[in-house]
Amino acid sequence: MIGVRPAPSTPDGVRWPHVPPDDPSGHTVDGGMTAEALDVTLERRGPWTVLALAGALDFTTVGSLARRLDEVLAGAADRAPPPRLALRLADLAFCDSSGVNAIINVHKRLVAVGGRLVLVAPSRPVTRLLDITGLARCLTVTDTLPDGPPPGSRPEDEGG
Amino acid sequence: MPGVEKVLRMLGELLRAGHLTGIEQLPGLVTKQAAVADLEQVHIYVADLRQQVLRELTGQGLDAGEGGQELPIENTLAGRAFRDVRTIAAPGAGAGRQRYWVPILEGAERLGVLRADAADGDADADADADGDGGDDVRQALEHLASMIGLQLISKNLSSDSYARLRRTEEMNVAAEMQWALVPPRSFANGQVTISAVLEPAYRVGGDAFDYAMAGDTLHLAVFDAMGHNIAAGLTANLSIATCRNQRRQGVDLASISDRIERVLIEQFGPGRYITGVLADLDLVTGRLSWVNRGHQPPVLIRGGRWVTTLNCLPAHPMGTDLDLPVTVCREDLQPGDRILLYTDGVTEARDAYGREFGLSRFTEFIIRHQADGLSVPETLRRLMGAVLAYHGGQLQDDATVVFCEWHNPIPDRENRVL
Repeated sequence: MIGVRPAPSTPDGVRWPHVPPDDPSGHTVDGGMTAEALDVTLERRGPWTVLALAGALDFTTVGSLARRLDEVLAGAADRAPPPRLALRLADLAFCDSSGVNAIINVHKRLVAVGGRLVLVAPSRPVTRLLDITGLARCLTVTDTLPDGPPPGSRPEDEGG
Repeated sequence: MPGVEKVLRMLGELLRAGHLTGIEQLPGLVTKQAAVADLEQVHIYVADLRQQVLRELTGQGLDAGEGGQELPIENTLAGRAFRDVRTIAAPGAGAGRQRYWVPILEGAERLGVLRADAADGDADADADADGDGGDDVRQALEHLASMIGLQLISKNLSSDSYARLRRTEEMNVAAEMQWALVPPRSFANGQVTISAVLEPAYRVGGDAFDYAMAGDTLHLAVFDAMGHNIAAGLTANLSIATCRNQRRQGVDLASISDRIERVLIEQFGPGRYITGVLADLDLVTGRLSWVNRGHQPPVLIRGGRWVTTLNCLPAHPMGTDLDLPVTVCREDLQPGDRILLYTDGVTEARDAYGREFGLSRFTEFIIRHQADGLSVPETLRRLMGAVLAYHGGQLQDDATVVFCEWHNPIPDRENRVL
């Protein structure tokens, strides 16, 4: 995979938007993104932990996503009910092979503890990638979060 | 004008003395023996890895090119001989003489260009009632160039200087592994023509290709390992070694790809994978069988214009251990059909505005240049130039193309009977 990749804005190329721990709406507003960095926005929606990815998931940004996933899934094996994770990919413009690897790894981790991963509303390039690699056949890809309104239907999520 | 006997003597002596000659001694040996056939001012030029310049092989120094000339492949007579794969004669060698530029080939692989001065064979040809007398000089030169090609290929295996002469940039370790891994970039026989390119030539990471003949079967494969580093190169090396090992034992395509997966997991655990297409082409019937392991589908070009992708339900990338069934797909080719295996670095190269090079630009480029009568290796050389230029001269991903044309099999059937 290839992408136009300007120098990342931070040493690891990732900026985490501030997530208020007790935001009553449970929503966060995307803090905006610069080209080819990765923004990860966390929200809790009922039983689901939703990570919305925006920008580029590649070998320069994947390490930080992996750390974020570690935080989210820490102690997941002991938790009841098993964790449900949704990756919202509507604003993921680019994903390379290391990004694919991260997605496969989190899928395996969740399956191992009886949890679930869904990929929600992947962008066109990501859809193409999931089709080509065959991953669309092993992972759950949906337009909307199960048991909930479409994640893209709220004004906060529109227009990034 | 060299007589047949003189040419035979030259070639015989090059064969005999060639056994005990290294790359460093080759220019001296060639000069001496060419004189036997009245060929003078003989110089050997070798193409660099990217095929952008021709460097003179002098035999001097660590790269065997000290004190030699460097000629660009664009806009020179030497370059035209290389690009068009034909002998070119031009004035400049004095009265009654011509300066010849002759492509040095080994099979379908272009290695460089031979320069020599000789009596004006073409002028003789004009005066010759049969019109073939003047071909003697060209024929002698082309025989000499073929002999040099064979010598370069055999001596190259024990030479660092040849590798050094062909490099215009510093090479990284991963690329060093990949170039040692892949077969020659071009191959042709009466049944099939294959040509491949691999970029960025000096910093390639996880891309690799392979092909080999066994009886009436041509094996073809293209691989793209995750990442762009030495680990990606190791993944590609292990995959190709496993692929060769298994197919040489008669293992079928789906099982080969499963075996590659197992070997990768045994060696690296989870977290390293490779995508690829593995194919077999029956050169008698034209039946193409292939498996797709999470890779861009091959492209079929028919009749010089009709283009389609060869879709086959992909199984998961090898090494991801996701347990999808592997499907073997089949397509009956027609004589003249061309198959392109490629990696996404070709189609996903982006210009300054982020626009992709794209599949249609890629296939149109191939079709247009083939229609112009260019050879397959030259078409691919120009394609990579275009991809690199599109991306501002620096590729960030590996880009590989393997081109395969299946010829009309009927003449070969007749040959086989004979």
